[in-house]
Amino acid sequence: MMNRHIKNLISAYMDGELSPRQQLQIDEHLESCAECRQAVEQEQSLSSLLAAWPAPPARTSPAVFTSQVRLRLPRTPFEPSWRRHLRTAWRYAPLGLAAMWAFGQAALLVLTFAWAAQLNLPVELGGGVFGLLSPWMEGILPGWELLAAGLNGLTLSLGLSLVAAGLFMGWFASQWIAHKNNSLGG
Amino acid sequence: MTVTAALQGWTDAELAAASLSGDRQAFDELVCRYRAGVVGVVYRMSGDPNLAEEAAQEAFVRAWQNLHSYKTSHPFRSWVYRIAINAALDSLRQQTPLVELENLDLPSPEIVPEDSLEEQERARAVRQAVLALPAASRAVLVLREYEGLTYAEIAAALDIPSGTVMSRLSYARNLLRQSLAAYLET
Repeated sequence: MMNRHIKNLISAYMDGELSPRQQLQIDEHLESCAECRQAVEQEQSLSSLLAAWPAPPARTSPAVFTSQVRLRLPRTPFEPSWRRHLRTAWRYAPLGLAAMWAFGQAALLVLTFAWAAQLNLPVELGGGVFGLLSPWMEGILPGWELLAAGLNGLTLSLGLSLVAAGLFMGWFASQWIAHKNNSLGG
Repeated sequence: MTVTAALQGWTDAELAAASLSGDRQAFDELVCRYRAGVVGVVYRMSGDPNLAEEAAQEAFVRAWQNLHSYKTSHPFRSWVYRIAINAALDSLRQQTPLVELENLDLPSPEIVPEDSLEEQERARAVRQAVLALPAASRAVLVLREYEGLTYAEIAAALDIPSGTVMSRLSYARNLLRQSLAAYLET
């Protein structure tokens, strides 16, 4: 049992913010201490008195209040600058994608013809399924190596284009979803 | 089920996340949920019912602009009440009153005529006593006495340790006991 007065704990006691053990100790102390009991009663009286100050009357209905808030809102929530830059970069991502696609196509062209033909290297080094067919096709089709190089390049070019198209569709879908959400939100 | 009705089942964190992506209907729902509380906090901090709704709207606009800083692991209520307290204090600073607020002897505008004179007098005294408290202590008292926040929620709202909440609350109640001694039952 506490022997000292507990006045400094009364606020927390009344607010139910003490541990169960402390709460119990204070309950026990109050049974034997008239002075602290009086302090608790004063605390209760103060709480009741504070309730005499009523809440403000509603000047506008909830619907009107919400509409007024909405009218004052900027178009979008504030964003930190790094996120704003990221969003701007994402908006122009297709330009970067197009540049990478063009660079890839040019690189393929160089690899296919300059590497295979001008450097006089076998087409197989360029990789691809058409190079593997050379042992059989060379006898059947004259100029097969050049054709195989072209077909290899075309296949890789188509593959690169498909990847670029897939990435673009993903970007387009994200923009469409964002636009749809904004439209729903008014 | 309408979009608004569906949003009523969402948690605050879900609504805040949707609002951050620009969904204004989700933010409207948050405004509906906390309108009364925010107006109440602003009113108790400023004592001016005319200012209360205006500053409460300002608080919601600030909340919208700063949604990126809201951590969904914390209660939205604490976070928006903190903004409300700052909005109220900013509004008071901008007003530059000719006389000290706590010395004003205006009738409490929220009191309806049928209230007894005694009740009006008590409400006026409480209002003056609360408004005379230092802002830091007043904020803690308002959140505890009028909004029913726990010490942990108040600590989160005001970004102070729980021990400071306890000491400020105790300090505020001591001051109120002195200033309202004539109204406290013995």
